[in-house]
Amino acid sequence: MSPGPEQRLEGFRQYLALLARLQVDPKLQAKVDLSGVVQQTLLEAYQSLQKIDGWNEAQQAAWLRQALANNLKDELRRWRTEARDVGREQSLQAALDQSSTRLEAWLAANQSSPSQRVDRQEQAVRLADALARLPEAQREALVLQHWHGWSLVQIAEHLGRTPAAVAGLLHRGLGQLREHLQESE
Amino acid sequence: MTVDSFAGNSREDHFQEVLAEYLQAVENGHAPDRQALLDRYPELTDELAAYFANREHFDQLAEPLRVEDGVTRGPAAKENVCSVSASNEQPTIAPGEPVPVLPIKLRYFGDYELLEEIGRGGMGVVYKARQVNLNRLVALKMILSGQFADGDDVRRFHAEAEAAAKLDHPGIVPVFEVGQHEGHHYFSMGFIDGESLAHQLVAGLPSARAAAELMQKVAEAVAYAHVEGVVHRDLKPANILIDKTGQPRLTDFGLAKHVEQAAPGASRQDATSGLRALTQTGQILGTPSYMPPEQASGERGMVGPLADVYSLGAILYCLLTGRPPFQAANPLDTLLQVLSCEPAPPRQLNAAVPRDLETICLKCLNKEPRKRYATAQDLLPTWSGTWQASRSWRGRPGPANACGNG
Repeated sequence: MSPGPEQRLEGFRQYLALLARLQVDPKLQAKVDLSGVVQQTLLEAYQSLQKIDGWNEAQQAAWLRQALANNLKDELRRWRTEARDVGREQSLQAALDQSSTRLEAWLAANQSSPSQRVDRQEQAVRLADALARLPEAQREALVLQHWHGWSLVQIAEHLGRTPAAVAGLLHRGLGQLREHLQESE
Repeated sequence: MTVDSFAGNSREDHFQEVLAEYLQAVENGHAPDRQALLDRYPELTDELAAYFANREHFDQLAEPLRVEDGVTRGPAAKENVCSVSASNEQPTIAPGEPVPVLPIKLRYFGDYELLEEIGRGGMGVVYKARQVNLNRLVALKMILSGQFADGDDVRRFHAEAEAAAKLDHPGIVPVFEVGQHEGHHYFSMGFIDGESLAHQLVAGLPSARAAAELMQKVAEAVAYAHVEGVVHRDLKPANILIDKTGQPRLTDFGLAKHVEQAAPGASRQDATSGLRALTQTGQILGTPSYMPPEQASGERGMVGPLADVYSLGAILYCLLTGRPPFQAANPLDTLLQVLSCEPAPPRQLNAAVPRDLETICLKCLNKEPRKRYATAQDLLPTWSGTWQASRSWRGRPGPANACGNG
């Protein structure tokens, strides 16, 4: 039995969650409701199902990315307004500014580049699903290093571990990830 | 880490340290060639080979998420390249990196050596800096690009900063220079070693006498500025710095308007646009908790010295009761309260507040500008007649931080 439209949309959840993590500064992630933004995005997709149901996976993903970027922008804007008066740490303010700038660039890139090929889209979704199965610390270390470009020392401070321990997390994370991906093939 | 010291560690610890060392070398652009690494640590051949294989696998898979989703490339992405040949190593900033509004690691800005970031707001960033040619410490306020709508805005900003630069009073932080460098507008002010009144209030409230004495000094400085034709327009605890000797120094005339330039009625806006401006940028009109109703409603032409008189009352109110006269869950609701509610009498919140101070407070906070004290100068005899100077801060923990950082 082939999956219904709801399950097909649900299949994008980890992909969207990963994209959200890549776009928002890690320092903000504890403060901003990223899973709520993903939920909202999937809900909007469900409401637009008539329009997007016939599309291929790459086209649907492009639609979802656009909706996600807009919802993230709204969420950051809302948080910016709400928290203004209670006095926010400078580092968070800087993180907010950078995440907003990054989102704008991402939106622009989304609009200017054509949808990717279906096989590459499937690959991205598979990777996101496999990442979601990793223990939190391993996933965090990989995401921070690979996509946010953080140094080992920065990651170590963020996770409260030594640089050597973070190297261990990366090593084990990469190994487990490969196993998960081979299982899903 | 050498093989000799390996004996005391578990194999896994040893591997993790070698890997950490290698990854940090990659970050710094000095990664050893992969074969050289294997030659150096032959005992770790299996682990290192597994790591490199898994890494390559991952990089390949992660490729679609990087390029076609417009996601930033991190330095880790180059690890493979450098493991083939160290000479291919690149500096850390990747081409896809979005350009930050201001360079993060900026060390010099014109004649200023930037020492540390000391503040950040919607308008810009404030650095502690050293002015090199005069060898003096300054607070350098850089205005973020995009803050000015057009050339008129820029001219207004310069006019304001120049007006503030003319002020010379011990209770006012001097403005040294206004300028533009590499496309960024900035001004420099005296650097005050101390903290803001907003910060001090977190620790506790002053006694009523200390509050009156402090506000007298602030009112003196404001009265002086008014005589010189400058209205602050954004007086609040965060803009009152307390120096090491305990003296208040007014800062941030960023929103100050030259009184003579403010043509009444020329820039009237309806209340809605005032609200919109506030909720969008939150900075244009100032902090609503200390803002008079004529400013909250966006009637900019009406905002004169009496707006500062109102704000003085609001700050005194906070010093006495631990909270500003109006404070709601969000700026918009606060704004609506400012426009339509009467403040609770201070003695209702704190029975220890002397009646005289309550009277002064509420007169300043009158919704009708003409029913307030006519000038900041007029407040002075009232206070000095009533109160002997006293510096004791009661240090009552209370709801002090409800004054907000505004």
